[in-house]
Amino acid sequence: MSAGKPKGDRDVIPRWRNPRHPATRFELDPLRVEGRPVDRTGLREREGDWQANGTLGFALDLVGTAVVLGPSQPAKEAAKLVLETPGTSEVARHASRRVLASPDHEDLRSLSEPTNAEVRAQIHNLRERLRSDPRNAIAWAEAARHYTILGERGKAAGCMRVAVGLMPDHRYVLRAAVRLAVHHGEFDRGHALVARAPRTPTDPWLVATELATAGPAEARPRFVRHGRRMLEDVSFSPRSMSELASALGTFELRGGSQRRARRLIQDSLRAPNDNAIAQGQWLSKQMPSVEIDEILLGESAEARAIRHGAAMESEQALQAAWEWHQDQPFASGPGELGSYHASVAGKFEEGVRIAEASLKANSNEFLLSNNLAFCLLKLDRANEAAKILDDIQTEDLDSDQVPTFLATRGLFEFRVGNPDLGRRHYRTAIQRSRSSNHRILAKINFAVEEYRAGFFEEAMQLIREVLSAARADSDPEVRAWMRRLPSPDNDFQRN
Amino acid sequence: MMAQARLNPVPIEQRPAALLEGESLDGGWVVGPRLQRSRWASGGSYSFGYSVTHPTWGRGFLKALDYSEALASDDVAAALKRLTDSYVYERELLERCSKARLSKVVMPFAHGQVRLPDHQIPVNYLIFEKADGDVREQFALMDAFDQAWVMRVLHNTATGIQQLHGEGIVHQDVKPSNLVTFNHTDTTKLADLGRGEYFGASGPNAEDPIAGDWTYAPPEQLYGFHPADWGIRRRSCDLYHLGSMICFFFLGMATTPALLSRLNEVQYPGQWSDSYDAVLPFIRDAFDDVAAALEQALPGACKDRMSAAFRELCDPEPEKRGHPKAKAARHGDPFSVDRYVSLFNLQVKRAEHLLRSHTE
Repeated sequence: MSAGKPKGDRDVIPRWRNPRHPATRFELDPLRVEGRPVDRTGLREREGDWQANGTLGFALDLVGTAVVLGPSQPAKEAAKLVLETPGTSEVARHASRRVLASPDHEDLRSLSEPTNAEVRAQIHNLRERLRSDPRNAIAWAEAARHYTILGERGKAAGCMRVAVGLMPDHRYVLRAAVRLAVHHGEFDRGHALVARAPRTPTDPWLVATELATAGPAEARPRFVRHGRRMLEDVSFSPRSMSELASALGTFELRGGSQRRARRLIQDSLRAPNDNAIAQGQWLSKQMPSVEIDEILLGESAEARAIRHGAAMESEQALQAAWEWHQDQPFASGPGELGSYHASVAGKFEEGVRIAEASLKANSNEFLLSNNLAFCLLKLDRANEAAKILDDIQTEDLDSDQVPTFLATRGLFEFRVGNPDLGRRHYRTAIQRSRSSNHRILAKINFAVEEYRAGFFEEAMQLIREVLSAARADSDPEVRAWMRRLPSPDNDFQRN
Repeated sequence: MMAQARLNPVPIEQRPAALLEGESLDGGWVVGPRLQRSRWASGGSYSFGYSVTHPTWGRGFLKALDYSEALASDDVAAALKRLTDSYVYERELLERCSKARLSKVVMPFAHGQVRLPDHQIPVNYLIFEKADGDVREQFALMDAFDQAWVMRVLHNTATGIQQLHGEGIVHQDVKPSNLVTFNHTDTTKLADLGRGEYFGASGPNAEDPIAGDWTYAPPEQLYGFHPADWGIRRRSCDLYHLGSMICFFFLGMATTPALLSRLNEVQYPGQWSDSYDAVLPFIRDAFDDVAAALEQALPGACKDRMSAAFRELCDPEPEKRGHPKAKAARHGDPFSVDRYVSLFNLQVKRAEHLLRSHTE
């Protein structure tokens, strides 16, 4: 066994981002886009006033009107004057940039993943804001998201309770609350929250969430038929239906209906959000006819991480995992996948960084701790690894995790100069592994440690076993790890 | 039913309402030149503005109703009825204000009708006291931003609304271009009752979802939410507009565009098909952003109270607008502006005191 690889199913659990993040935009859309007529008389009047006077007061008035009624050439000229005039307020400048359709650099900066200190500062600002207006459900949800990034689960749950209390039937708030419940492992609570909301039957985004959470909650999904009927309703915009089609497709696939699943997943990719793209990529393993093209792939860091990961293109997978982490900093997936592929690629320092970054919000995730310890040991930082390994609650590990943990323990013992104990751990890990792949991977790492410790005979014996087992195995994962076996081309000091 | 062809409106320069210059009107008024911004629109009705003079009353402002657009519409009778109803309604509102001698509302001098030779359609007009301009002109002097002047304008505006509410009238169109200035008395008044309405009564604009100017409309109106209660629907609108003027003077942007510029475009009123409740959390979040920016911009001495007033007046939920004490009072008026009149008055005194202490 090596560093551990993420496993298990994927569901279309909602993303959770700042509501102003461009990627969230579509999830906030109204279900049906209306082009209601706008009375632009006011705009023409203000344009006349501005052209007659040309001073700042009239420019500001025109810019305000253009924000509400739509831009025009004179309004753009007025917006330029506002931006050129020193001392105009940030609010007026923001509105002017909106009229000029130029990006707001301040906003874009605030959307990138902040440091710990910045997260604390943002929580402080949100708290200040909530003191002035405790009815701001978005600010409560944002405070919950920031506490989640820091791993402060109790505070996050408290803030989210208030947000849901204020807006118990709001799409964004409900989906954020469900995401938090899933993050906390409270699947049944998350499912119940969305299943009982009065808005759910009318909103495909919420129906999708209900279907996606029913599986992890081990509950019967309530809205399968309803969801199917919704998909036939052409009045919904295709983008509103992408997660619903994706969730239904996943449900059908698990129910054994490949044909229906394929059709639904293909439907989900007509105007998808990044979550539906990632789900499509994930399911393409089981349905090779589902293809995610490069353009769609560019829109979802998780989908890229999954694809590069499956192809064992570890450096690309690691890069995509970082992007995925930037987007969903509280999710454990990016750290698990990223640290695994950092280990495969021999980029142990980067493996440490991504595992540590993900552990902030997921301190109890075994795989993150294991992979962090693995990378630390490969960097000969045994003291730090010891603390990580000692903190793992071994009694909570499942039968697949135990061999992984034992192999890492074996690695530790080798690195602290106890090869006998290390051997014992490795052998037990190999014995208890249920997958032949895992046994080969454990032997590869075992062989590396024997070789590194100077036990060449033992190492050669293990290498022979690996080569004999791997000959029949063309698995790209095994082939990738075999590149780490001792060889004349391999710089062993890096292992 | 016979098919009707929609006519093209008569060119502006041939419309009777645009040709009043030089006319002598009943009561001794003489029409001067048409004003530079010569055409106003208010709720679908159009008018032309003129400078007028009177041997006793001096200068005045004449608003001449333009019926040409209505005559070219598909349903001429309905369009004309709407226009004339609006005119008669505004005239009645003004007469009531005139009798009450409201000091902070632009008063009418006269009204009437004139028929030009060669034109069959008469022109209805209203004559008001002539203002020198509106408050937007003061923004040209941004460097010399005068806090005392701003507070005086806010006080005058609140007083104007208070006076109108006292007469049982809502204004519904308070905006910078309707806050007009009078240099000789160094004051400002509230102009244009074209969108006004009697308390609880159904005026010609009663069915309009957006009572006044779209740019300054409270967000619930833009999103098509109409509270059943008349007071919440209409009186809270005046409170919102008053708060919006605080935002305009200190941030240079009225509340509504400041809020909308912080939303995603798909959440804009023209595109949003969902309920107001569904967009409300985002509006409130944007509102808190604007309120925080305002708090930063307000001068230290009035920061707390003025920023609280803004939050109370412009709350995105119309039923929550107003002073907390007025709302809590068992028998009081929940939409009373009395406390804001006092607040702005106090701020005027403080700002003037500060100014004096700086100049001494």
